[in-house]
Amino acid sequence: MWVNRCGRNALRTYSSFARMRSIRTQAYKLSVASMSHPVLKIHAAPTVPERVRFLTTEKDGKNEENSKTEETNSEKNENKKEEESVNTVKVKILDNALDFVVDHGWSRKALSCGAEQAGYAGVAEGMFTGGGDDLVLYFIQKCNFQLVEYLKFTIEEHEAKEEKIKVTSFIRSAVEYRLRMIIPFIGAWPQAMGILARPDIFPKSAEELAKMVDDIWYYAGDRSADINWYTKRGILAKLYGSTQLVMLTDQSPDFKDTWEFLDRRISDISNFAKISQSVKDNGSAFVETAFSGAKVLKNIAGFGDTKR
Amino acid sequence: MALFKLSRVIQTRCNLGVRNVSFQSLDPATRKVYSRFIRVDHAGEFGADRIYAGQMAVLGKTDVGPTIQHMWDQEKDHLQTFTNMISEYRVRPTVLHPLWNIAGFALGAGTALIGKEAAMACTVAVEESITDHYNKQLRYLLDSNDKSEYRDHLLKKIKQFRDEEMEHHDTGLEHGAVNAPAYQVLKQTIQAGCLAAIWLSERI
Repeated sequence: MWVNRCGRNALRTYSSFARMRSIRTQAYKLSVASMSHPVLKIHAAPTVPERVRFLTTEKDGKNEENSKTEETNSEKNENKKEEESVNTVKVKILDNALDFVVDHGWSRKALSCGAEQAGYAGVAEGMFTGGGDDLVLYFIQKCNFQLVEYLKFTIEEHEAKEEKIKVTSFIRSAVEYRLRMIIPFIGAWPQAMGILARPDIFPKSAEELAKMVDDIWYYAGDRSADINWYTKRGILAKLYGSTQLVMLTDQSPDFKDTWEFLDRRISDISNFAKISQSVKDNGSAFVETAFSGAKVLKNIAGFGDTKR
Repeated sequence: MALFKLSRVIQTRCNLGVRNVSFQSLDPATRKVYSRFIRVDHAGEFGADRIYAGQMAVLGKTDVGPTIQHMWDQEKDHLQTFTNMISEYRVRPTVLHPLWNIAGFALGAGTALIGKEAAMACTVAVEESITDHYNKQLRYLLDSNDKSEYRDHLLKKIKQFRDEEMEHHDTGLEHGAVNAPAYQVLKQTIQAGCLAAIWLSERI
């Protein structure tokens, strides 16, 4: 009987833990979904109070018939304001922390120095459960956000001059602009790359890379809806990765060697595209070459008729 | 830099038109569901387009040629709608696109080579699967609380396409689909393949 009671209590505790965990997950999902600032999708701790809260598809926070809480509109708005103010504080700390990355690397030390510079206590870095990882992710999200603004501006400039955009030069300037944002942090960048490649962070960094290459191709005018969508983005991701690696070991003034490497890779890609296009166009020439090669092999092997 | 006119850039270059809420700023859960819908529907219509292409390659010069051509034209129109959605809303297309290219053409041509009735049986099976699939999507959209224009647009288009697919299904039956050799086996196999294709295209 005592054993039964233990078992019942254990079951009750476990199921309440499971319920709490699912509430935390839902609260976290809601806090992430309601963040309007694009740079804050980092794995932050949930900032909303732990109560039952269901994700709705309404963006303006209106009460739904199927909402299972007795929350009023004002409470929901209050929570939203609370989240937004927490997010503002986080962004402020992260921005200030970037000033200390050169000295302390992507670490909690940089975050706490940033917090102090922003006017908060150094222990405010405890807000970030990931520590230095959060700082790296914030930095790349911020860079990608600025890149998108730059791409829109470039398009605007071309529209104003009534010019057609040349895709290769657009992509080249986009990659160069994005890589130049790393230059102030290049001493600590190998550490950042290591963090981004770690298995627990890699899904998020891969998502950011995918979004970045998608943005660049979209603003370059790509509207493909087949396998080309993937090949184009794959090529650009590889291009960006290889140029980034070259930049890390480049000692030339203003990274001249890196931009020349970038130019060479882009001309390789466009040559490859031209060759494959011309192979398709001159399919017969390719076939003839293949047949003449086969005939040579036949002659060598002794099966040919030795007529040229 | 802060002087660029953002809305004009979007209108002229990115073909988004004037919208109250851009697709990217829908809440993530809804955006994920709608992206999935558009991805799988694009894959489905592309597959249907290739199936009819295969059938026309074999049966184009026979007396059912015009019927298949008419159904094919409607599928082409459906495909164009979803291709436009993928471009406009920046939805990732399915990576299995080349596979559906080959498989669809092979299915269409293969069943057409068996016979005209088998081709019609293939049409009946595929259209029945697509109708069920669209009905599921319509039920979700009708149930959803989302009030954005994307839901209305999707609802309107999927309803129209569902009605046309049902017409194709009935046309197939009219042209003797049940007289195809091993009709039930053929139908069940094709429908199983369609279910697998739908499941895969939703995700990858």
